Amino acid sequence: MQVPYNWLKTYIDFPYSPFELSDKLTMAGLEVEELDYLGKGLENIIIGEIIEIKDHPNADKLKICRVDIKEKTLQMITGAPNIKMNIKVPIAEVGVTLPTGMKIEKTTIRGEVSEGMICSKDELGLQEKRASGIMVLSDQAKKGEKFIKYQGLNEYVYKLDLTPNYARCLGMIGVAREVKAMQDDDLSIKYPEIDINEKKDQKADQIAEIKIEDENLCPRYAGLIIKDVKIKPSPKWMQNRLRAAGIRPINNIVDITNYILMEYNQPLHAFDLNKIKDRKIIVRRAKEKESVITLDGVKRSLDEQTLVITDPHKIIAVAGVMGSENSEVTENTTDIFLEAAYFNPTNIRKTARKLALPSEASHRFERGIDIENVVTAGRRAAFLMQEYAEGQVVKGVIDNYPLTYQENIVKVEISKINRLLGISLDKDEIEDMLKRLEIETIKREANCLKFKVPSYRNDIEEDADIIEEVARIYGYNNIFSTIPRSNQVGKRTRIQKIEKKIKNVMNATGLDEIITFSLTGPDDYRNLNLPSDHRYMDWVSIKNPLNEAFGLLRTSLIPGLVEAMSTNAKRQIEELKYFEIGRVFFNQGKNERPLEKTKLSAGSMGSVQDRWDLDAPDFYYLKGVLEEFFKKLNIDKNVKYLNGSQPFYHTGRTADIFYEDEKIGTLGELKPEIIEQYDLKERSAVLEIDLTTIFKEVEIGDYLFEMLPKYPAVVRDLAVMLSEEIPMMEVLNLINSQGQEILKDTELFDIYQGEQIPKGKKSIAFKLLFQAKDRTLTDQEVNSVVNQIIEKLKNKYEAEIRKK
Amino acid sequence: MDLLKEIKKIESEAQEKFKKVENLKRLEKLRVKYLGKKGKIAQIFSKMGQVADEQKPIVGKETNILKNKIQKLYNQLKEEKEKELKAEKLKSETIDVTLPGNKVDVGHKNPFTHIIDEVVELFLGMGFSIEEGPEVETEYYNFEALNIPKDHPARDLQDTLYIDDQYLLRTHTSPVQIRTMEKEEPPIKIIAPGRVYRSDELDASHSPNFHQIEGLVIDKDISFSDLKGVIEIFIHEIYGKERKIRFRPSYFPFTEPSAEVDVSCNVCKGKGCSLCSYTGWVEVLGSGMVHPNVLKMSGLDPDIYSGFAFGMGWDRIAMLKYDIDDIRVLYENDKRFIHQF
Ligand SMILES: [Zn+2]
Repeated sequence: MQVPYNWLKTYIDFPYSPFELSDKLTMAGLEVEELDYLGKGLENIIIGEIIEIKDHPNADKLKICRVDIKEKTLQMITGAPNIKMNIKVPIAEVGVTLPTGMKIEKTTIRGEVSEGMICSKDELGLQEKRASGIMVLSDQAKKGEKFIKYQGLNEYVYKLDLTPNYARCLGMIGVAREVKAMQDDDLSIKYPEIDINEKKDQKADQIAEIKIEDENLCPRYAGLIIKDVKIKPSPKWMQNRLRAAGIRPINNIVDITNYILMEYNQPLHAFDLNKIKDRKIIVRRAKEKESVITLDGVKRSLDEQTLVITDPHKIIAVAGVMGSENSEVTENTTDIFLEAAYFNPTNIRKTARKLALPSEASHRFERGIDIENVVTAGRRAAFLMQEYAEGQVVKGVIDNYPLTYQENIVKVEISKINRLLGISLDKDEIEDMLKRLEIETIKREANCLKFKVPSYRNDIEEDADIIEEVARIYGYNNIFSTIPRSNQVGKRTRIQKIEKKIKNVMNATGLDEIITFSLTGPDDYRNLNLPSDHRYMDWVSIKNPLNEAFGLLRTSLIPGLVEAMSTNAKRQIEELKYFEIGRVFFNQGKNERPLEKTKLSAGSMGSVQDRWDLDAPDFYYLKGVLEEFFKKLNIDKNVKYLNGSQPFYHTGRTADIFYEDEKIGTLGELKPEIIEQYDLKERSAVLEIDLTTIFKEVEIGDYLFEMLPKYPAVVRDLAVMLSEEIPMMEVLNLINSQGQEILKDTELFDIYQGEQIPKGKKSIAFKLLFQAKDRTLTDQEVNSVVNQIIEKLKNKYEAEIRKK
Repeated sequence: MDLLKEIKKIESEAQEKFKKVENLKRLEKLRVKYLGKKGKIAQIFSKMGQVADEQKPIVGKETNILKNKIQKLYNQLKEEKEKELKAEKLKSETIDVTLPGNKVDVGHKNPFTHIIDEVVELFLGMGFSIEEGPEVETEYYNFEALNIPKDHPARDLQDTLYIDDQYLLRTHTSPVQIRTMEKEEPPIKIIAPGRVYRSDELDASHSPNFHQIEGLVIDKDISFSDLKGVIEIFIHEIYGKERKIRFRPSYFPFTEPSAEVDVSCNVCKGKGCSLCSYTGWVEVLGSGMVHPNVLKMSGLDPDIYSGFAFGMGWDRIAMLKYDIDDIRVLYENDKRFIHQF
């Protein structure tokens, strides 16, 4: 809704400057999105009259004009084809800067002096398209006068962002009422003039007839008849106001209906009376497959849910949405049938949506207009047609009003108002405040007040709505602040605590946290080369996606992670370590709730340390992170890693991660094709873990202190050679199983293959740490355990001992 | 030979030599020369036989005095020289303290996490619990239970992404209000952070996927002034004590009265600039008293219970707090960006 300041002022004489009013409106709940001054940059343009035109002696296409700007005359050169004697034109004198940024200077064009410029519409910033000639003003324009005054541009316009409960403010009078409520003194609304000289020879209902077939969809339909109208441009002031409100002037009849729309928040429709068959209007539901060509020339097919305005032969309008060409007012129209109606808001909303035809009218109907004001608005329009279209208004209004308005009475408990707002007002104060909003008290009871709500306040239904009005008038910022009393303790849930712990561990192990979109596209998964039966392909699709790239919900955090790694790699970031905790979604079948799971992903690119010299720095970095992660969650003893096989991992460098016997995730180096496609650094690795099991199993804060050892430890190195096929985890498990409670730690510190080691074998070296709680260990004790370990290694893996 | 004379001579000679000693090695040699088993002092003792008996105690005494003197001199010099040596060693080990330190890998928190940690700590302190809810929601929880019936113009305020006829992606975190009221008895005090979805094209100020933080308080006698108090504490904590706050009437279907909350613009300090559209205020939060219809639908009697709710864009807090002018930066995950937090 665009509200021009000066236009608003014609309804109420408020004492606020344009800027003060802006603030007041916002604070009253009518949020001012923008405040524009229409004449910006045009303040110095004046009106001139062409009083002489000569040919330019040195240029065929140019003319030399003398322009009278009242206090003097100036010579100007123009090439405009529409230059004529005695026309009024906008003039920019030397020194003026146009809105386009062009500065007017005194110039000489082929030997002739030009002392200013005759402007075109685009040069004044009034249209974007290049104009074919200069702007010609009407004969009423006064030479020497400011152009902005003539053009109605000396105007501030408020762009209001109105929420649905402010539907009443979609008209100037509605806004004026809000301005009135801002002050407690007596500002009054100046309602528009309606002074009709009725044509008495006939009555409207003798000329035309209205029949409403569905009163729920059309509770009120009124018609007025205006005869002998002359179609011509509307008066300048009206055009200016409409333009300021963002509406393009067309002709007097259309402009008047739009003017009333803006003034009273009442959409009107003018039909050519003589195009209505039998002058009989029938308001009914459309029939299945019926169609109509609307004013925009488009054929619309309708259904039984659409309300239409018809005559006995044809549809003449889609009610509240758009008229039809077949009954349109044209240059030749002489008699008008003016529709002023109230249509069912929900129905209009559905129709406008279905036909994709939102309009100023439907916008208002669907929010609900003032059903009691329908006839007044129609009469005001008829009056303006009498004044500005030379129309003869026929006596009477055909007012078909089957569902009469029921007065809305709301009862409010005084104590409830005070309790809910945290204030203490008495009955009189509340009454006075609401009176400013024309909400009248009709009954005073001991603890209650009963109010009659004005018919234009369809947003007020119950006491809560009245309480809101009291708060608004009282002023939100005048209400004191308090803190609610409480004896509760705030806390995180167990899962939230685990999540926080995970984030801390991840940060501590050097990973940065990222957040990626959970809306994603199929390409991300195609690029991972997944077979169609892969779990990641069970995604949930969006029914109405913005585009393919946001067309589904992710089933894995890996695509987003890889994308983030790629973004960085392309920006010359050589090294990164990322993690994310987020939800993924799996399709559970049609009409089933998708499954939401929380997952953890991590990725490493460009790590330097290559602990085992296997050219797998990123893989083992992530492995180290995982080990620390499970240790911190106190479940490291339950976790194992087995060779895995995901289509997006390097076949020889991927592991499945198990918690006991349940697979909870995967870890692997991305396969070379993917690394190449995403421009990642070689050997980049990622992992993903389903946190569901972890959330179930982990106990937070369950630590038991273990006594620090009092007796010295004994350290032994052990180097063995065995087949390279044997996974390290097995060897470690075997060693640890022989520890006899004195082996406290087994650390692998070297793997070697190459010279001196036969092909197919590897040499591995451990540091074994022995310690007892209650005594100093003897060499004998330690040796016996070491020997036992060696025996087992020999027996099981044919290990050769290199050093002990 | 006069031993006493010799003692005098040794003394002056020793004084001379010790004074000139340069390092510990020479000092040691001097020690051997005078105090050693075959040193000059020992030699004097060995000559004691030749001394007349009555002279013996005198010579003996003088020799011991000499011995102590030299010993003292030696000790003193040794300590001195050792100190010098240590100092030299330290000096020789001087490093360039301006060289860069070791590379230490520290993981960085995401700005979203920074903010939520701050917000959560604050609300935990005020006795709030943290709630979460599903991101895939039903029409009922996302709209109807929040007093947004089908075909109500309020539906236009949010463009919804649908999955099918039953399920949609929540357009706000407000459904968590309903889920909490259904499962818990008042008093209720929660905040609910989470992801939300809208059918908005991705640009500098919109994203189809963003985050919100919701708050809800339900109890007997909760008033609008309580709402103001809690929100003022929150805003002052997050945006700074010096910020001015204003509440202005607004509309949300699930609250009444509803209030939009603005803070004074930090860039222009309220004078007006492009960030605040020349109003001096920046919108940070929507709030209001829980609508009686919402209470009723969730099984609470509005004549007994009242409450307030508030909701804010989590991304928006990040943008305002860290001066980020493009929402896409938050989801791009550029390492250089994350490392600023
Ligand atoms: Zn500002």
